[in-house]
Amino acid sequence: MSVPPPAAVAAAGVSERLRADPGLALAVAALWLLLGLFVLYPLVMLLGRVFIDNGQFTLQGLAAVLTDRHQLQAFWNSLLLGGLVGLVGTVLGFAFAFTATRCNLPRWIVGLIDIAVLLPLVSPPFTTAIGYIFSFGPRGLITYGVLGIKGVTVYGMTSTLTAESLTYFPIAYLTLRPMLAAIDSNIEGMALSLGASRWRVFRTVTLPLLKPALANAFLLGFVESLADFGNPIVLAGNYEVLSTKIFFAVAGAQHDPGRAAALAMVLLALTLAAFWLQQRWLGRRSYVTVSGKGDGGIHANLPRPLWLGCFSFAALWIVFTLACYAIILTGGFVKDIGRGDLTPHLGHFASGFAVEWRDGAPAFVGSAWDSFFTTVEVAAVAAPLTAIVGLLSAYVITRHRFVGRRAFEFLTMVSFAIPGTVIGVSYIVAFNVAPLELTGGMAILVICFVFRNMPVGVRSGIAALAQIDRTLDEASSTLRASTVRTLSKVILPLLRPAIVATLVFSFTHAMTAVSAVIFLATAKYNLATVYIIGRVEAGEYPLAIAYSSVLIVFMLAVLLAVQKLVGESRLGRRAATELPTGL
Amino acid sequence: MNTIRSWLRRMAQPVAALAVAFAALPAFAQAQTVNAYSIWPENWARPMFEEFEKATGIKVNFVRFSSGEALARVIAEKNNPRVDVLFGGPVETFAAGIAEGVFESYKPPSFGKLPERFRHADGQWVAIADDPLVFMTNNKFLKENNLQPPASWNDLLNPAYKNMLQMADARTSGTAVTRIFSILEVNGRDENKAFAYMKQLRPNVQLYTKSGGGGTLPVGLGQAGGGIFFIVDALDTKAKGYDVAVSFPKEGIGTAAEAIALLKGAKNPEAGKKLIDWASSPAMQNQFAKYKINFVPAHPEVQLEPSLAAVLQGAKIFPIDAAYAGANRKRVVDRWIAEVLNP
Repeated sequence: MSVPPPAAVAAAGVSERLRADPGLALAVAALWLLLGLFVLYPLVMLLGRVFIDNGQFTLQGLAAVLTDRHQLQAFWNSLLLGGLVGLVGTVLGFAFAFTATRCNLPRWIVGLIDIAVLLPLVSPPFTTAIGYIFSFGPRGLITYGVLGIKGVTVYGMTSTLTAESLTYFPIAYLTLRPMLAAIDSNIEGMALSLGASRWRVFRTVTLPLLKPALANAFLLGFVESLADFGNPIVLAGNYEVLSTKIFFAVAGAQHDPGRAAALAMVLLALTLAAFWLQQRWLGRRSYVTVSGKGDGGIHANLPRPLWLGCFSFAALWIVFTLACYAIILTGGFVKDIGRGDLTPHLGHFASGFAVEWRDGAPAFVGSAWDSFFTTVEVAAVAAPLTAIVGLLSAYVITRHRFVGRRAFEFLTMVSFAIPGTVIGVSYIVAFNVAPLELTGGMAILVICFVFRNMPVGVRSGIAALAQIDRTLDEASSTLRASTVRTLSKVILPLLRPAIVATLVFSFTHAMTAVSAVIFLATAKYNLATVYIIGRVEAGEYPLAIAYSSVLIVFMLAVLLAVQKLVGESRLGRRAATELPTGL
Repeated sequence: MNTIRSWLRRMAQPVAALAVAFAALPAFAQAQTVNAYSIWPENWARPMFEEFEKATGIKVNFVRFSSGEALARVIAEKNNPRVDVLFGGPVETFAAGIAEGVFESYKPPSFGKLPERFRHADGQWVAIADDPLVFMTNNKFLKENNLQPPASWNDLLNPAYKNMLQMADARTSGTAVTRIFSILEVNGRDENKAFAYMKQLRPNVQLYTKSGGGGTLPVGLGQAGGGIFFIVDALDTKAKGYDVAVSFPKEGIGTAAEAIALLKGAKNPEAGKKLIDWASSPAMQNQFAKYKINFVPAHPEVQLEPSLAAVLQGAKIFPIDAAYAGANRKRVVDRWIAEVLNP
């Protein structure tokens, strides 16, 4: 890969390094190739349908969409919903991240917060939405059962906003928590000792340092909401958004793939705009908080009222979440929750997950096992690959200058912005014939997840790297360490929280995603979510719920294991004075 | 695939791991099987395919989709089909597939015995069942509001149903299209009159669901008071123990045939044809009763199951005219979206 020397002197040095460092050059080339193949190529195939009609370039398809009143309404609806979800999600995520990192709470309470916050993230699709209808619908436990209100309207904007915020704020939490934890306590401590009030410190020191993380949390929530399909399809009713519009255009009775592609372009433009605004807002400032100098690592104690506020908010939330999930999950253990038959019953688990001993080996005879194993396998292969591709991209974007870096960065975000249905169809169109015949196998499921979830790795990687002082890797390379060595010995250990976030997110997303893979799953490689939706459609709610609870428990176990294995980032903290003696 | 691998091998270490992982994934290979997309829900399709395997020794690998999704996937894959047979689903889905040229003509042995409306003239599809629409209402809801099960289209306009009906969305569901054409039919194909009725009905509709049977469970649970569904879905809800009433409008209601078709370029055409032979014959349709699948058999030699016959007794049911529906479908659905769904 030939790199013309950039004008700036500093950049020239970097480009020299790129040439001198074949490992890095190859990594950039490889990432370009992968993005080109699995993001750009399907996208181009898709856009071809909008702009090319009978071999002629035309703007009619796009114009038709942009001038239609109903399509425009869906555009504004999506924008409003996405903005609100981003906002609510960021605020909620921040509140919990703050409580978890700054309240000096006992570890087990932080663990409980983690679990309560992550539950929605590890729930199979529609769980929130269906739980919402069962609680707040016309015959909901709360609206009808407790309050006795008749004929409530549950379908609409408010319900969708609530369900989406609940589903996506954990992403904000995952992005913000490590950032909050990594802020050098000395910086805040200094401001405090100079006599600033806590509010002033928070406003002028903590918040500004969190800008990249806040912007990322908002962006992720916004984009997730734009592309979300599961919640609006169940809850939005007449509040039409772009993602459901696109789904109807692809898989609807009208069958208009051209319009779907045009709408997908509109959605893409929205994401691009959000991305650009984020860049503008962040500007070219430094957000470095992790430098070569160690710090005490102990944050000043919060004033009592604030501490109480945070603590009770978190406690209430934990109780609320666990209660909600208890209600939903009871359905798996009783005969028929829909009709109020609460006799304890394990038959639903037996039909899905029965294991028999045959010839001294376990035989997995339950109907759910096949899809369960496939899903776990796909998610387990996809998660580390997502982390590698995502974080490596984040590294080259933040630390190296190369031609087309902006375009590269944008390309990493693209697949996030397109609704799964469109990705699924474009993958079929792109990879159904030789030489890239991938459909029908498991590889395409893995690839789809890697490139669909990669943006989270890139975003959290960029946010984390923005905090880490460049002098750390420069020191490493001055000492003649190669890029690979610098990466593995300096950067990676500091990136642990971002690695955890990416692994967690991509694993859970791969286990719970549905809209993209519904078109890629096959009889041989069926996925858990597709199976669950089949059960829901057949009215077998108890089995669907039983399966969901197995998935939730399984994912929580994996998440906790990942957290234990990869660990927290090991920032060099100076030993605090109040360490208990006799360690 | 090989070109990618050789590319990847030369790349930096972490990326090489990616290539290894992809290469290790098993390829797709099958013998003496037939692959199908089923539009019938799994709990009906699975026993049918198991019976087929018992009868012929051919295993059916299948994935279930709603009709719109199945069609979208078949069209997207048309240059290299992944399955051999599209199984079940309303005839109008198949009509849309013919327009995209995805099917291969095949006339099974039963072809000559089937009534004309149960077969495509060139054998692009054949019917395997018939499925009339019905009104289904929640008995508790009826009692609370002192209502009888609706016996006329106009009964559904009763303000007691305000915001309490669920029925399918015409953008995704063939059930909805059949319903709209039923309304056109009972209004003497006077479009303005039919649309006036649908607009009048709109305030009573709580939700237009994505799939045809999507509203059955809410009605069973009482989250909705009633709706318009295919008889299989309605009787299935009743069989599961939900307290619902099934009724027919005195003006009449439409019925839609369910079909099967062979895909052009199918990898296992012979096995696929055997599945079509079997599904379009009494061999399969005699099994409906055994598995409590309340489709009306399409083959004239298959007896209607007595309890299903009892439900249908006295009901006024008419087939939807395929030529008329085919010619007006897109326009009527567009008008429905513009005037009824989003006025």
